[in-house]
Amino acid sequence: MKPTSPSRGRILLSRTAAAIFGGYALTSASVIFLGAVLPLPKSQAILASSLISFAVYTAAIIWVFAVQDNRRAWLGLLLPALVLAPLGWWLGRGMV
Amino acid sequence: MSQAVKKEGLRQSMAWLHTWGGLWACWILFVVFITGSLGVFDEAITRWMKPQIPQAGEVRGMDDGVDRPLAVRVGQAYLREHVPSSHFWGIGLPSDTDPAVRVFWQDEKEQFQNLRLDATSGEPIKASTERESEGGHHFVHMHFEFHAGTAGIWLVGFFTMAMLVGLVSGVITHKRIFKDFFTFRPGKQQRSWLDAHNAVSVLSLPFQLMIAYTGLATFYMLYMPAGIETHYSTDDAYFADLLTQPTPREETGIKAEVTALDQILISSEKQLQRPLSFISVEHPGDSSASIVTFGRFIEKTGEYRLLGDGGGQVFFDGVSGEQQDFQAPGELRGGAAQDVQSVMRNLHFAAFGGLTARWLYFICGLAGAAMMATGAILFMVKRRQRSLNEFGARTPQVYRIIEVLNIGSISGISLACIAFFWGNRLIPLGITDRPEWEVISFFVAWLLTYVHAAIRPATKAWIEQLLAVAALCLALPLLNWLVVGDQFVSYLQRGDGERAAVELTAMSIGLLSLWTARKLWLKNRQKVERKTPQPSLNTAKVEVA
Amino acid sequence: MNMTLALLLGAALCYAGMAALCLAMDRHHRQVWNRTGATRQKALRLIGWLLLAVAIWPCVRAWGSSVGVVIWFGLLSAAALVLVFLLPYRPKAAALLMGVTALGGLPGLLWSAG
Repeated sequence: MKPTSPSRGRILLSRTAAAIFGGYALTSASVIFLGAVLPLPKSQAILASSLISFAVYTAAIIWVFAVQDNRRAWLGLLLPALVLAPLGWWLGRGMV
Repeated sequence: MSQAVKKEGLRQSMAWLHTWGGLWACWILFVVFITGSLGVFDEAITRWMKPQIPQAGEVRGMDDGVDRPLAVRVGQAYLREHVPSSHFWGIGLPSDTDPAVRVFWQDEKEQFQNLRLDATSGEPIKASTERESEGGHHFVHMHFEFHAGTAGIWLVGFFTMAMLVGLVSGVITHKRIFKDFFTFRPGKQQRSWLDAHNAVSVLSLPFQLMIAYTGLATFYMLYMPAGIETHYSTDDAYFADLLTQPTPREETGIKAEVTALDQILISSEKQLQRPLSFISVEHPGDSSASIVTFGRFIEKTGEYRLLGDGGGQVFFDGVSGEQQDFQAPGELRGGAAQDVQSVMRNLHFAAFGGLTARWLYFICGLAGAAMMATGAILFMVKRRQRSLNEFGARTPQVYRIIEVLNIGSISGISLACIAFFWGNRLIPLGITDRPEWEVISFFVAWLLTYVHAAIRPATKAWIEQLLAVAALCLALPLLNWLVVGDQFVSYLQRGDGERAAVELTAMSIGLLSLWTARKLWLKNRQKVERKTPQPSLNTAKVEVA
Repeated sequence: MNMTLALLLGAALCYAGMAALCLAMDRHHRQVWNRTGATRQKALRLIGWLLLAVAIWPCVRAWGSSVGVVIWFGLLSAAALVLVFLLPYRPKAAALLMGVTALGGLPGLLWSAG
């Protein structure tokens, strides 16, 4: 629990970065994806998923600190983000 | 791993997150909560700061004695003469709290500029003999952007997310949330601070969750642009689609004069059945120009709602003056999602339930500030008794920095807030950019409190700053009486409850500050007399700090 | 309904309800009566929930269903904050205030409804 040794500090830095940046990436991807798949007119679907996104982000950050495993945290955030974002973009093409 | 061990592990990691995440976030958040709570009463504060404007309720409705068509002509004439080729014009009409016309435009660097004009002569108001003031807007701007524009909004958003995480991790950490629901045990040092922190947080939790979430939702387009960026070409295109408004048009490069805006005003007000607050012109001087007029927001007593209180809008072609769309006051567009967003925004802005809602927001906002303050103080109280050595050899220095930041960000910002009121009364009239000097006096006072905290022993710094807050708060009516000739009694005699309430509230906070300072002083004296704290205090165990 | 009356009733009932729920707990019951009392605590718990529930009524009457509920939530927090800082210093006064607010609030509610 104490960031005394340098390696401990690095681990915490990476975990915090995962929470802030990885969490934001996953959240953004979720907005892109949900904006395309929610059964609403496109603009409203995006608005709805943007409003939910702050809960998604909070959950992602809490999760990162709960798993206590940086590799799992980074992978668990970035892999779904890398799937959801392009999928959402692809599904949303041509939709009006 | 058994379920129980797993649960304890989760609680430990959440306690760590709550302690450290909370610590780094609580200074900024304390500022956000104090200024936000004051910002709830921005109009009242503005009236107190500007004795020249009428008291609340005196001016309302269509016929408020202002020649609005003339005001619009004055604004349009200025913009046409000085910035004919800007991409954007805006005209803010005189209101109850400001008798001037405000003109807005985008300069060559795409930056928004604005200027206040006399509503009849059209002369720019640079310096005046009146008490020009930033008023209560100062607190609103501190609250959401620290007077730092988009960067400030991001900063506040970042820490608001930290607050959401802090609330969730705090609830997970708190072992006996229902058992300790009403528990506060005073006079027990660390235990008391923890109790107080738990009590103010848990008892106002619905408000804290709501205010953090709705604050983020208000700026969703800035904070979470991914969806709009991916699925739309521009923000305007998204808005036009969402609100089924006329789509903004591309500039053509063909020169064309903007139609007479006073006629646009008259036509809009007739249809909206209320005064306009703002007129915007997109692409003035181009044949693609378009105009939107906005009806004034009217807070009706006896009619309270969270949705459908909009002032209405009318859309016109900017050159021909032909009407393109009409959105009646209270008309809803954008479906359920937009309704939810509007409700969230209204919930955050506290303008839906009259004075009762404002006072409850003020109280709950101060509870939020108290949550930050007790958390920050608890962190230090715990470590003052027994260092946890988190930073190795540097631990004492880091603790000292944290202590200084605590003092300047809690008692210091309070001092700066009341200093702002003193600045309003003491800065000479007629000085150029007087409102900016008020804001500068606020920041200078705030900065000095950190310096003071750094050069004085911690307990003395706390006591002295709290005494300074008390003195400035309690003497505010005296200052007002000396400078302007008014104070809360004369306000009350005139039936101006709003201005009187500003001083009475300041005095109450002054008394609270005095009481806290006295308590600290007594405790400190006891400690000095005993020389060393009782050893039994060091062994007090708590789950969180 | 008159705004001031609604506010008074709402605040009184919220305080009475919160105080009843609080004093229904062992620790706080002892603070006032120096002992636990199973029957009284059970009664307090029931009355507490009832008082909090009826406190919605004046709020909704005065501010409408959406804003009224927000005001009710705000009053709950404000009342609980008053209680939690009054109780340790003046436990008897906190209990007395519960009696006064309940006895004033309930008839007031009936009177305003009639």
